[in-house]
Formats: sequence, C-alpha cells, structure tokens
Amino acid sequence: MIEVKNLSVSFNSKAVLNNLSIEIKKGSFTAIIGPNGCGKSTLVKAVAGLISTDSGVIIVDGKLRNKYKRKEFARKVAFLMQFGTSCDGVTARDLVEYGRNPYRRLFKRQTKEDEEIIEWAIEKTHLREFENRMLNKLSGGERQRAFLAMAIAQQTEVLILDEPTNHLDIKYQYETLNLVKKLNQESNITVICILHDINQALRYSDNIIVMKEGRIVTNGATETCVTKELMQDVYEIKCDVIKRRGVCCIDVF
Amino acid sequence: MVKNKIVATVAALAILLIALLINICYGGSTVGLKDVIDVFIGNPVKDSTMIIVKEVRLPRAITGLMVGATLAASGTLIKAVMRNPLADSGLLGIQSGSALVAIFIILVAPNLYSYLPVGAFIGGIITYLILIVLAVKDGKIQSLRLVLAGVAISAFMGSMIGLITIYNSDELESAISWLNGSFVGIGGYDAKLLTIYGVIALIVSLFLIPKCNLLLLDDSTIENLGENVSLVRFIVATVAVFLSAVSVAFVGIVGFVGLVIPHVGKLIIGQNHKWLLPFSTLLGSIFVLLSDGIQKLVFSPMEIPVGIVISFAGAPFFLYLLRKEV
Repeated sequence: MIEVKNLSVSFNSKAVLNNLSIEIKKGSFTAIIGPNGCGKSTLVKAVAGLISTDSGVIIVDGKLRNKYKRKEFARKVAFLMQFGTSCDGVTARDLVEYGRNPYRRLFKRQTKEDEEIIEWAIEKTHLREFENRMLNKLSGGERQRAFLAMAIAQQTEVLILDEPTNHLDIKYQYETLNLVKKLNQESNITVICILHDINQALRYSDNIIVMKEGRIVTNGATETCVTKELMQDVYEIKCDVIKRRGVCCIDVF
Repeated sequence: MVKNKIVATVAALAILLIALLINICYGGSTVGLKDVIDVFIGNPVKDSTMIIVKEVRLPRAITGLMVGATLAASGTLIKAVMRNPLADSGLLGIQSGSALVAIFIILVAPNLYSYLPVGAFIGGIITYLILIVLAVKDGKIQSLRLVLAGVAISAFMGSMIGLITIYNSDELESAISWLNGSFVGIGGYDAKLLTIYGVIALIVSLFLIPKCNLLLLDDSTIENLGENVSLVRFIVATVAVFLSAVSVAFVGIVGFVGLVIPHVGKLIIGQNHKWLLPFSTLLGSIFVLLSDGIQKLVFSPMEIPVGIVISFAGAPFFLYLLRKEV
C-alpha cells in the first residue's frame, strides 16, 4: 500500500532521515517505535506530504505521492497529528465536519451521506456529550478524540496516527486503540501508528518498524522482531520479552 | 454569544431598515415617513420632496449601506486570512494603497473614472503583496511584522497621496474631503456603480465561507484535508482587498469598520463564518448608516465626513475591545 524508497530528509542541513526504505502492506497495522528524536514523526510527515524531502520516492497505492491531487490524497490517507491545536471558535462537531472537506465540491452543500458519516464518527469516538462544545474548552484527551473523529470521517484507506494516545486517560488510550484496531480489522484500513508505549505497540500491531537516529533498526512481524537484545540496543533498557495471554509484552527489570 | 442566531440576524435586518429610513428622512430638511413611503410606492408627492429623496438621500443612504457592508465583509475575510484580530484593510495600509491609485485616477486621469474600483483594487492588491513580503519570516506571517509593516506602508502611501493632491491643488478641497471618507457629492451614478461592484464582491465573498472556516484550523491540518493553504489564503485575501477597494474608490479611506465590526459580530454570533460573515456585513451597514445619520442630526447644516465620525466612535470602542479581548 505504501512504499518508501531511499528517503532522506534534513532540517537546516542536519540529516533527520537517512536513506530509509520501508514497505507497508495493505490492511496491516504497523506500529513505529523508537526513542525521542529518532525521526518517527518526520517519516510519517514525509508520507503525508507535510514536509519536503531531499531525495527518495514515496509510493501510495501504486502511485507516486507527488502525483496525487491534494483532495484525492486526502481521500486516500488521513493523518492525525500529535498535537491537535485548539482552534478558536470551532466546536467538536465542526471539526468532524471538516473531515468531509476532501469530498466537498465547489458550491455543493453537505450531502446526506456526509451527515451519516459525521454522525458515525461522533458515535464511534464518544464525542456525543460534548459535540457542541468549543475545542478550546475541552480537555486534551477530549480534543484528541475530536481530531480522531475528523480523521476517520475522511473515510480513507490509510490512517496514519502520530502518538494518538498522548494526553489520554488510560481508559481512552485503550478505547482509541481498540477503535483503530477495529477499523483496521473490519474495514481493512491500513494503519500506521507511532506509539510511545512499547507494550501498546506489541499488543496492537502486526508489523513493527523500530527506528533509531534516523535509520530503521528492524522492520517486520511484531512477534519475531522484538527481542530483549533489540530493546537493549535501541532503548538501553534491560528487559524480558514475555507472552501473557497470547500477547507479547516487555517486562522491564 | 446569543442562543438564537436567526433571531439575532432578523433583528439586525430590522435595525438596518430603521437606520436606512432615518438617513432618508433626516438631513438639511426633514421628510416625513409617509412622504418617503409615497415616493417608493409611486404616489404623487411634491417635486422638491421627490428630488430630495430620490436624488440626494437615497444615493447617500445606499452608499452608507454598501460602504459598511463591503468594509465589514473585507475585515471579516482579512482577519480569517491573517488569523489576527488586529488585521484590517485600513490598519494594514491596503486602503491607502487603493486610495493612492483612486486619487490618481480622480485628479490626474479622470477619463478612467468608471474603472475607479478596478484601479483601487490594483492598488490594494499590490500593497497586500508588498505587505506579505515584508511580514513573512521563516515562511510564516509574523503578527508584529504585519502590523508594523502596515503602519509604514500607510504612512508611505499617505505621503504619495499628499504629493498628488498638492500638485493638483485646485481640487484640494474635494480631495481632502474624499480622503477623510465623505459621502458628500455622492450622486446617483456613483451610488449605482458602488452598488454593482459591491453586490458582486459580497456575493463572491459568500462562496468563501467554507474556506474562511477552514482557515480557523492550523496550516498542517488544512493541508491534511486536501487544501492548498497558500492558495486558499490568496483567494480569500484577494476578495477582501477588492471589497475594501470598492468602498475606498467612492468614499475614500474609512477606518475602524473592518477592524471593529467583525469583532462585535463574533461576540454576538460566534466564529462560524456561515453566520459571522453575513451578520458582520449587516452590522457594518448599520454602523455606517447610524454614524452618518447621527452626524447629520448633530452637526447639521455643517457636513462632517462620516469617516471622522466613525473613527470618533470606533477608536474608543476598539480600545475597549483591546482591553477586554487581546
């Protein structure tokens, strides 16, 4: 579904991503992990087209990233950013409605289908009780859910999330990830998700990309990739990788 | 913010109608409401009444209506583009840019008179582009740079305008009156041109409501939704500049309407441009018509350019908002 070949990105002539290649299969749930500053966010931003790249190609669904029209790409890939900024005068519901923007034609009003999808997104992310409240009056977690609702209202084949569980209470962390997993399994949406919590990454992903200092350390099926040697190498922690109720997790000493 | 936006909008419409009637009834001599109605429904009235209403008061009232509407709409759009509550075509020097070209046409090239709004638009858009070049640092518009650049451009354009008026000093008096935003001498022809250009620009602005709402989000989010932020900004700004140019072309520089009215609109009806843009447009008309009406009531038979009255009322109100909001 998404292919990145020999991608390099630098900011102010300092290399952030160094000749990096990955391939993400359609319908997979890929987690990206790695220490702070390893280039995780830069990688997904490059795929989403938010930053310019030095070299390399990005192919989305068999077509070069830069050959897409803007709205066409926004119907293919939704990107939930790490920091949902608070916007003055925008309600949670307004935000979800923006998610339908890629489908909007000039001079056309919202269709019945748009309306249904907005309702569905609000329902799924439990926004109902504060849908008419201003974003800047919501807590960080509630705002994050509103931004997630906007992303899923885009009805894309690919959903990229940059630390979607940030700011969230633990209950909503798992609710969010369960929802994303459900979308991944039931609607066959390809998910790429940066996660800070390694155990969440292990639990939800079927593929994992481990990054360090702008390079990919390893990339493959989650179960086989993550070993205690890898954790020692990437995060400098001593731990065991154990299986509990059929799910891999790390147990830090 | 009010609960019922429809009621607020209807109320604004009603007040606008009253303001219009006040402006048509009062002036050098008072015309009764019954006579005014008779003129409009075609009943016979005295010739003098007919002339006063149709050829003096109506063009002037329409001018006030259009000036207020275009400036308030322009201010609403430009605030959306700049994401800055201080942004306004007057404060940023865009009106001065329009005024420079307009006064050049009026005094030096009067044969181009019917293209006055187009000339004012060209002056405004060039000023806008200069402004952006000056205000952008690291790919972003810096608020402080923007406002300071606006002040400098206003002063520079002002000096150029001064130069042109001095070189054509035989028309100095009318030029000064025009520069202060005056409705004196606006005839039927001007009012008609102003209305045609103004209505077109206002209709176009309504189509930009979704774009204005998008601009409430941050740039990356807008890009993620499949929009070219720079292009959206440029389109909205272009229409904003045209709206202000239409007003400047006929009545000169009128400050504070675009600055204050969208603020008030936002306080009353909220930030969603679906309501804010039409509502601010109405409020702008009301504000200018009442300013001109009060001016006529208080200073009659002397004429004070309405721009001066508006600044007199608008500046303190702006300072109040500044203390409260920014």
